[in-house]
Amino acid sequence: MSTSNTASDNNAAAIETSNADKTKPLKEKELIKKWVELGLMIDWISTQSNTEIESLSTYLEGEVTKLVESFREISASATVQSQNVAAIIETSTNVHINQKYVPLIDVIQDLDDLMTLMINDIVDISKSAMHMVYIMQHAIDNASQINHSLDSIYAITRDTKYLAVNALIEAARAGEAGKGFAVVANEVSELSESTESLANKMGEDIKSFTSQLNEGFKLLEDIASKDLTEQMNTKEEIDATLTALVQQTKSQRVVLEETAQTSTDISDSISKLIMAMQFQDYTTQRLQHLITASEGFKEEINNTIKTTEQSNILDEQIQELTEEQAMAMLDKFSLSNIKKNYLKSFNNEDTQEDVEKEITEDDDNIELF
Amino acid sequence: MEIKAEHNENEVKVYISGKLSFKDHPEFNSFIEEIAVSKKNVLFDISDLEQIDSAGIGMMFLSQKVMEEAGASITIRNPRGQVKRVFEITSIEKQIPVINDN
Repeated sequence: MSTSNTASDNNAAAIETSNADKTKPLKEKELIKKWVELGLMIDWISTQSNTEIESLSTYLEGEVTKLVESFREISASATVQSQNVAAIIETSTNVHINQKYVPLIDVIQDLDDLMTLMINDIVDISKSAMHMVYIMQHAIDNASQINHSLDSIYAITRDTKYLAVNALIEAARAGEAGKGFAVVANEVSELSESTESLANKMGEDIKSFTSQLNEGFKLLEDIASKDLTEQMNTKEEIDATLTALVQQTKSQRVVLEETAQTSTDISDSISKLIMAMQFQDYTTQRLQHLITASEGFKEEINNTIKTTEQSNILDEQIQELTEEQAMAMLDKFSLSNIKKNYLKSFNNEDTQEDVEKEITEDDDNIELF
Repeated sequence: MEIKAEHNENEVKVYISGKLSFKDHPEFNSFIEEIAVSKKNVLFDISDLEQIDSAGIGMMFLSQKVMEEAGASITIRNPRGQVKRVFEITSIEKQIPVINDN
């Protein structure tokens, strides 16, 4: 009995409480209603904010990836440029001869050696030519001596002939006794004739030989008298040109090496930049944490709203925000695109594209209040 | 070319001036052959030699040959201007001693 009474008392108490709730002052109900409406607004804003954050995170990830890719291409180009410059350095200091690359400095040394050989040859030729001139001069002098000797032979032959004629005259005077002597005198006369004939032949030969010798000597003089100092002087000019060429190549090499180093530095800097841009992963994680925290917050708010509704404290169920309430809150937003996104969200429209569009628009389009 | 000799006890100083070229070879050669007889070392003073051609270089080398055959040597002193330049190009000092007063 007492139990039945207790239950009955409890029910009565509940009815009384319910009635008491209904009879709560309007101000208190309005306050609770305001709290529920605030909860709904926070839920809506959190939902849209999470969408914004996710869109931003996705957009950021995509753009950073593109940026990193672009920087990688620049880095690769800088590396290629560095290699090209290195190749230019290689070819500028080498000369392609007989299908192989020879260092320019070696080529110049070879040319210098060749020039030295040429000069030595010129000196040797000059020396030999002068030596031959001296020898031929001696030969001409000797030929002249032979001509003098021939003149002596002519004189001796002439005297011999006179002697033979005189001997024949004396032999004739002697009569029979001089017959033998006449034979000898005739022999001597014939001998001197033969000697004269031979001397004439030698004279002609010597004349011809001397003529040829003089002709050769003249030719040799023409060769030996050629002044080759001009050719020797070319060595000085070539040396000066080669020295200037080496100097120019060295200067060029310095500039090219600096260029190659700059390209390498650019490539290294970009590589470091790419490494630094890995912040995007970190940012994505942090944004995801924000969303997770916000979702937890939303869940708690929704649970509170649900508990309030189930308590029947309020006379009516509040399930949605009114447009008026939403607009009142959005008036505090300064960026029109953000405001538009929230309105679209309020009307259950997709806002993903608008987030990206808003980010990619020029700064000029940002409305400042 | 002008050439003259100054005979000292141990050497003969030969002064050459003007231009030493091919056309001077008969006089130059006779001069050297006469000096060679003395068998004394020769010092060519060419301070006043203004020009030399390739034949002149040849004659200098041949004079060395003649003197060496006679048992003596030659030295060149004070090449100037164009002569000095030709001597440098031909590296003549590798074969004939060259001295400079300053």
